Amino acid sequence: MLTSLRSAFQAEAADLLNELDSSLLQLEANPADGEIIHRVFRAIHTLKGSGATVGLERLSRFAHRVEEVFDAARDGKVQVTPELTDLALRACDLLRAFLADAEATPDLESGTEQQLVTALKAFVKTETPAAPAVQAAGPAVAASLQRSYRIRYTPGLRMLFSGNDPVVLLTELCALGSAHLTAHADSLPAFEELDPEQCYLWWEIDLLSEASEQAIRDVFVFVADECRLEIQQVIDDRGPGPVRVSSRDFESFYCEAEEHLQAIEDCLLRLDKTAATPSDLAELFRRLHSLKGASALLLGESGDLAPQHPLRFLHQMAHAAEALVEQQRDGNGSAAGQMGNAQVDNTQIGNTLFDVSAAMRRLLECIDENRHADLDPELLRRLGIAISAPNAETPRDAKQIAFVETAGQCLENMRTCFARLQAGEQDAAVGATYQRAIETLGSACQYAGIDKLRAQLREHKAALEAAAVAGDAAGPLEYLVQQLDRTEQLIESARKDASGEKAQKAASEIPMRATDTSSQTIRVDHEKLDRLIRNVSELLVARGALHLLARKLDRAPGVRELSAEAKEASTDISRIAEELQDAVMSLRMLPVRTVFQRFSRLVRDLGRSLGKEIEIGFQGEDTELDKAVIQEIGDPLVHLVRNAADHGIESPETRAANGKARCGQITLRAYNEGSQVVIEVEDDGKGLHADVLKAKATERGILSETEARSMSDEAAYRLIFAPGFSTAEAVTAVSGRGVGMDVVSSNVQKLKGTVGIESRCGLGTKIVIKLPTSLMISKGILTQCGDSEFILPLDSVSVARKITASEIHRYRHHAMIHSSEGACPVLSLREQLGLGEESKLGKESESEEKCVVLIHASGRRYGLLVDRLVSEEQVVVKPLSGGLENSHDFLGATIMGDGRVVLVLNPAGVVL
Amino acid sequence: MKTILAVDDSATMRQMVAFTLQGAGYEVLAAIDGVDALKQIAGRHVDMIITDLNMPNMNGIELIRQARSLAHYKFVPILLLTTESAPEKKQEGKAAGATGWIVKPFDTAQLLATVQKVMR
Repeated sequence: MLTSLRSAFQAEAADLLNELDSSLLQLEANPADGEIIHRVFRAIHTLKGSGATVGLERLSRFAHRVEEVFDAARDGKVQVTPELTDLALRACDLLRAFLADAEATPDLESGTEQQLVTALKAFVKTETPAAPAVQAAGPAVAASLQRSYRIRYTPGLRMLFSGNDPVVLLTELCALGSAHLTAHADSLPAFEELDPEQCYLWWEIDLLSEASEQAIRDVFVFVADECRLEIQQVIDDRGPGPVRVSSRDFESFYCEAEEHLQAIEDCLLRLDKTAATPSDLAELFRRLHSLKGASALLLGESGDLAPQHPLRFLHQMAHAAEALVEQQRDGNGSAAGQMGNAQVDNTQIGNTLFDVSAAMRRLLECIDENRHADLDPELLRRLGIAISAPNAETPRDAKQIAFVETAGQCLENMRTCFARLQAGEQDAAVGATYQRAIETLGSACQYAGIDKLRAQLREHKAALEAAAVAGDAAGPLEYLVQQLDRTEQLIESARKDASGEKAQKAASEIPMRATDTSSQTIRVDHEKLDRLIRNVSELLVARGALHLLARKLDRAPGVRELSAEAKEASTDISRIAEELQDAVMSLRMLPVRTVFQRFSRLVRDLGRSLGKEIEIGFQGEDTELDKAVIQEIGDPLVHLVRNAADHGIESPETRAANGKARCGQITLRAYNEGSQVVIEVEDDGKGLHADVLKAKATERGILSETEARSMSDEAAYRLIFAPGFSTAEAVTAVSGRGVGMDVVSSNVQKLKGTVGIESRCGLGTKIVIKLPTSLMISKGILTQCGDSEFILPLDSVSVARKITASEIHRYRHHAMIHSSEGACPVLSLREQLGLGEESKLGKESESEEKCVVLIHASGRRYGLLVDRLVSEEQVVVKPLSGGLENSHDFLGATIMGDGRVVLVLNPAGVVL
Repeated sequence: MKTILAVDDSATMRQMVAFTLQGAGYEVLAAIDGVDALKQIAGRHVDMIITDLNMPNMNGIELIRQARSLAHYKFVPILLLTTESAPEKKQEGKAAGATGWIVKPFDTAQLLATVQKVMR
């Protein structure tokens, strides 16, 4: 359910954010317009509320920050300035990022978030409400004691007018336990004056219940202001309840705790005088940790204690202080650069810790004397704040550390309990403590993601249950101790993993710290990068030369050894050059996400203006493309997505009538295929209709009727790329002027890519763009034709093989061959380029051998006849100049290993 | 079967409320704002109204005020959805005649508990 809610929210939130964008822009122009401010507030408010409902806490929390500011603006407490609208627009972008990040990546934009939150806070001068004090950390306690309450309830006279009803409330109250009700009618007026819509009765209720007083008050929460409610607990237990352990156990805890507290104070005093040394911090940490552990142990053993029991507070405070010290300890190691800040924090934390240790002493006294503790709420608040400091997301290694520490404590508890079980103690509390230790360890495993141990713990728990039932029978205890040992082993191995990981991490971090940890990317001038790439290209050419040389040596007599060495060197250099090439090329690569990003907004706007419901989905956004390609592919994609939205997706009504979901789906997809990147724009709209396309084309004079009749569906689909072709009945604001698809095809060709179309009538259309991963270096086949050599880009070659003239069939004046993919037309490269007539197609002798290269380009398939296939080459394509740059036939030229310049054919252009 | 009208401008919230309450055996109607809600309850009976506070056209407070002025909605429970940041809105809501409130964000269990608490 949550997922479906969440997707509903996604769509809604995207709308809200776009609405916010435009409202904010309006607000920028009219900063005093209360109506717009209100609109902004409402949108952000809804985002916050709905976001929290579907569990997007981070988004909701951040939205709350923005909402605060606009709430204040609504009340006139904050002036709307251009800075504020600007800030809010940036906040929208961040909210979008949160929205897009379904996995809730913890460090996503956290820098930006922090920065924006600070800036937003600066607008609302008033203090944000105090963070909640230390939460009760221990398991919720259900007091086993039934308490007896005497309750008097006098409803407000007009209670019924708020839709409340005393009968409903009293029924709820009675459900809390066993109750005895007495209704008092002494306030009833005389009959003439009685208003039947008012409440004149009042009640006395004797309630025997386990519920707390608060739970009883909660029954009346909606009428608390209008009624009189008195609750008395009949048997008043004065103290918080003694700690139910043997006096010897308590005595030893008391002594231990006192010793820890003394040591903690000593440490604090030393820290106060001098700068914190790691050993002092470690000692402090250890003491607090032990104190926490000891109090947790006692808490576990003494069973149900009141929620406000001083022992609980002691445990929580030790825990909070431990967390503080841990932060300090870990912080000091790395934050040498922020010395100034650290100093201030140190003093503050030092003061807090002094207060904490004093408070803990008082708590210890209270436990001893069974008194309620009187704690300074301000101190609790401070601890709460300190705990929920910015870095709320615990990094993995911190999780591991926390796990190891918890696990140690749990294991100790288990061992103690086991010893007692073994000694034949039949106390249920021992079993319960044991079980609690297993459960705590289980949740620690879950927290740290140690599944193996978690699985074993289930077995361990079963063993414990068996042992508890069997009493001191030897068998189950034997089994239990096996489980206990196994648990210990697993903890140990987890501990080793954690410390190993930490050590590795520390080692790898040292060189990083020497430089600047904050910058993981460097900006490099485009020019420098290009120069590097040019150098690598030349290296590749030189490598070819070396390779040639090695082959020549191979054939030379009497230099066998020399030749072998040269070959080896050539191989080495090849390898290195290739690695270098990969590395350099990857510098130019960007994920297509950068292009895809803009489409959510576009599609939404399109949907709105066309009155359609359209969703866009993305796949493979991490696929990388050359930066130059990324820059160029955006426009064609915009055309394609527009077309999909306008011509592809039907109106919601039509879709519903055809049994489709009302909301149309457009998918942008990218993936690697060989050395190419494929980008697909797919819609689940009405698809293309070949006959309609043909009819349109004949009508516009693009196609003759004969041509139309013989045209395949695939070829008909391609008609949409013809200049001046549009299938839309009317030119809409979005598209339909018949230029878009034309632009797409020419832009993609410019990028040396191809465009293909797949479509199923009624089901949708898929436009497939194939692009070379890199513009600079590609593979090609060196072919010979007469005296000339050409490179054919390998990307567009599907098969290359030898062929005899007898395999070439003629149909009218077309030459055809059979290929594995069916019949396909054949062209002679010689004829196409006008390279002499000596062996014209069809005039060669039947046995003459030729080579045919099957080419896929721009959705067309054809065979190209050449004289000879020479070799496969890595080529660096350089653009042509001097009048040749507009040639359709060639993509460019390349320099071969031996220095020759060879032209690179344009497979899509050669057939034009 | 008891009928509940859920009023919220957020589709997510409407869906969440409807889904939860339908699962608990209530019939749920939805309205997108106060005006829509008043239109829907005119001339028919619903057993409870759950309304958001901030909505376009007519907000929750005004909706409560107007609903209470209708004879057959004088005593019908009306729950107000508010946020923790607006305690004074709770008071405003109560003054207008709200039966109770649910503080956002809430989960389905809280919603059901509150509905069952005030449903007659």
